[in-house]
Order: sequence, then C-alpha cells, then structure tokens
Amino acid sequence: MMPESLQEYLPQLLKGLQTTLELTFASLLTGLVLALLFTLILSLRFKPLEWLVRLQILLFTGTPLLIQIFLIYYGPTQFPILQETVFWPLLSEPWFCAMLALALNSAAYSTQLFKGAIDAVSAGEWEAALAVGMTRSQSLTRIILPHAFRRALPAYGNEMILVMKGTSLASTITLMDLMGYAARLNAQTYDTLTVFTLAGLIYLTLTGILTLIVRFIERKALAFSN
Amino acid sequence: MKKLFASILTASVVTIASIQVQAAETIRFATEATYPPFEFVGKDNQLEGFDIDLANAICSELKAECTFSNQPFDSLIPSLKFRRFDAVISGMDITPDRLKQVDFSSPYYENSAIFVADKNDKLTSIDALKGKSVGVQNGSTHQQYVIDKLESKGVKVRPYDTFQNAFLDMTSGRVDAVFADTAVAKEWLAERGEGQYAQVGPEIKDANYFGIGYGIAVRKKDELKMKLDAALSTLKENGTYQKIYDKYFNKASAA
Repeated sequence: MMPESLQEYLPQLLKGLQTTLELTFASLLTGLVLALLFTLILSLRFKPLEWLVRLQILLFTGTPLLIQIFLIYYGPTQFPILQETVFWPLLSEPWFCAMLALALNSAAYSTQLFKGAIDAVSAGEWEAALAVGMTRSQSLTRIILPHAFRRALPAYGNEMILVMKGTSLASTITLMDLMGYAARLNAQTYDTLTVFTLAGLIYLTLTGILTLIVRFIERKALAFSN
Repeated sequence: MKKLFASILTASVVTIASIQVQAAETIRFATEATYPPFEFVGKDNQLEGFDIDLANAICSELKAECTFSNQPFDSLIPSLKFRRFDAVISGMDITPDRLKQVDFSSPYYENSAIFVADKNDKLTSIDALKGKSVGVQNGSTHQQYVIDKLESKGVKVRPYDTFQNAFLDMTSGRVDAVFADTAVAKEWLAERGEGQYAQVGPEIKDANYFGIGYGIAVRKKDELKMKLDAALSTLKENGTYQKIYDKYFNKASAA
C-alpha cells in the first residue's frame, strides 16, 4: 500500500464516516426503543399485539437485510398513492429508508435477545425476592431486570457491531457512507485492493472502539455481580 | 496404490492440458446487462443487444467460442484485471483514466451524453441543475463527469448500481435528473418516458469522459486487442457492423 494513495484515499473515505456513525446510532437507538416495547408486549402476553411482534420478528430475522433495505426503499415507489401521503418526504430519503430497515432488523434480533434473557432468570430468584418481602415491581427492578440485563449485555454488544457493519449495505440505495465513498473511489481509481482494504481497516477500528465501549459499560453496569 | 496414484496423475495432467487447449479458443466476455439497447436481458433470459451481437460477430470472425457473464458495472474493470474475463463489452467509454488500467479496442460506437429530467421541473439548461440531485451509475464516466464538473457547483451526485434504478428513482421524484449515454437515455425516454420527461441542455461530448466512443476493454498488452481490432475492421468492411447497427439504431430502415 503506497503512502501517497493512502493520503489521497483516507480523507475521501472519512467523508463517509459521519453518515456511517449517524446511521449506526440512529438505527440502534430506534431499534432499542422498539425492542424494549416489543419485549414488554411479549412478556405481558398482550394478545393481538403479541402476534404482530412475532410476525415482525419472523419477517425481519428470516430475510436478508439487503432485501429489507431494497423493499423499504424501492417498494413504496410502486404505489403512486403513497407518494401523496405525509410519509413520502421521509420515505423518499435514502437515509431514512436505510435507518428504518436497520432499526426494524435490529429490533427483531434484540427483542429475541431481551426476551430470552428475561426468560432465563430462574423462577427461584422471583420466589426468593418475594420471600424476603419485596413487592413484585421491586423484585422486577432490583433482582430480575439487573440479572436479565447482565445476560443480555454482551450479546447486545454484538448486535451493535452487526448494525454498524450492516450500515455498509446502505450504499446500495445511493447513500454516501463509508462504503459509498469506497465504492466511488474504487470506481474512479480501480485501485480495488487498496481502497477496500483501507475501508475494511476503518470498519475494524470502529468495531474495536465499539467493543471497548461495551466492555466499559459491562464493567460499570455489572459491578454489583463481581 | 502407486499405480492408482499414477493413473490419477496422468488423468489430471491430460485434463489440465485439454482445458488449456480449450481456453485458447474461448473469449470470456463480461458485460452489465441493464443497458438497453447495448446490452440487456431479453424475454427468454438471454443476453441481447448491440454489444452482444457485435461480440458474437467478432467471435465468429475469429472462429472463437464466446461466453458472456453479467456483472455489476463497477466490478467490470477490476474483474478484468483479476483475469476473471478476457474482455469487457459493456457500452464502455474509452477514457484516459481507464486507459491507465486496461487497453481498449478501436472505438466501435460514437457516443455522447445527456441529462434527462421531468418536464414539469422546467430545467432548461445544465446551470439550472444547481442544488439539484443527479442520478448516475457508479463507475460510469457520467459519474466522473458530474463529480469533476458539477459537484463543486452544488449538484448532488447520487450513485446507482444500474441506470435503470436511477431512472426509477427519477420517476418517483427522489432524484431531479439522470445523466446517461444519449442512446440509452433516448431509449428510456421512448420506452418509459411517457412524454413526461425530456432532455436538459445540449448533448455533451468531452474527450476526457465520453467523446472517444465505446471500446472493448482487454488487459494491458493482451494480444487479444490486435485480434479484436482486425475483426472489427473486417466487420465494418463487409457490412456486418452496419447490419447490427441498423437492427438497434435505425429500426425503421432495418425493417
């Protein structure tokens, strides 16, 4: 890898970094809020909504993210009637479509993860908490949720990394993120190996930073269990 | 056991040798078939178009066997360099930038480019595109032209995998204009434009981007270039080229 080409490519690639980061955080946040809502619906067994959540999980864990992005981006254009609605200004934005697809995808996986973590807390903990005189809501917030959180956190850290890497698919719907600039640079220079190696290294750095953040949160949040 | 091993070895050597003999007679073409009338996937899932017919004519002239693979446009030159194919025929403009990477046959189609936009937007000149978004294909000369000449003037460049997706997004109002080859844009205007879309500004010819014409790309210093050039000039002399040209670009006179 030539240092000159590095100097030429790096600033170009970093132009896309902001979009990548914004997309990652926005979809993680939206996905997290949705996932908590979905987990609540599943835990409370709120009937008609529960079926909808299960359907959402089935669809979004059962199909490739790329198809979800394409369907959300190109799908609405097939219905001219949609273009008259208030949603069109949002749906016409590639950024919003990519964010929505990533958020729904992440919500589906995170819901499974959270629900699994709550189910995995043994019934004995409930009984013990109640036996020492806690109310149900005290048991939930002081005993069950911290334990579920502890189980869910490492797996959710992986989910964050998956979403970050998933943002690279947004370039297929014309978004100029890190991958978008890499594809453009590759098309301009044909220096495929250097350009994508460099882009890969930037993603690797991001993954590294995210991993460190998750580890830090784990240490802080789970201090009680050590 | 030794015997068995020896016979397997002999068999594989024979196979490898026969593959090499075959390879000498096969030209592996790559194209991106979303580019009517130059290359597209026809009704029976066969590749069709001006470039495909021309390549087949070249192959029968060279008595070679031709294979075609359909690949994303921005991967064509990298794949050619990585020896996945021997030649690229995909409505590809000969440009100084591309000549640094690959060699081209002599030009086989003269070319220019136009902007296309919705008539209702009343865009009358290229200057009117300021602040608007323009859809292009990633890796195309059109993308490079817009980045070099217009991005600094506030034109937003939106890269698509195919021109058809760029046109699709123009019809749904996501991009204001599309910048493409004149022949391809006019074909789209005639087939899908429904009278609602029109050319903006003049035809653009710029030798650094799309003035020289289309060429067939081959690897640097590949002797295939000589063969292709010889075949092309024979086809132009014996009238085959004109026949193919008329089939796609002078439909009335061909019929």
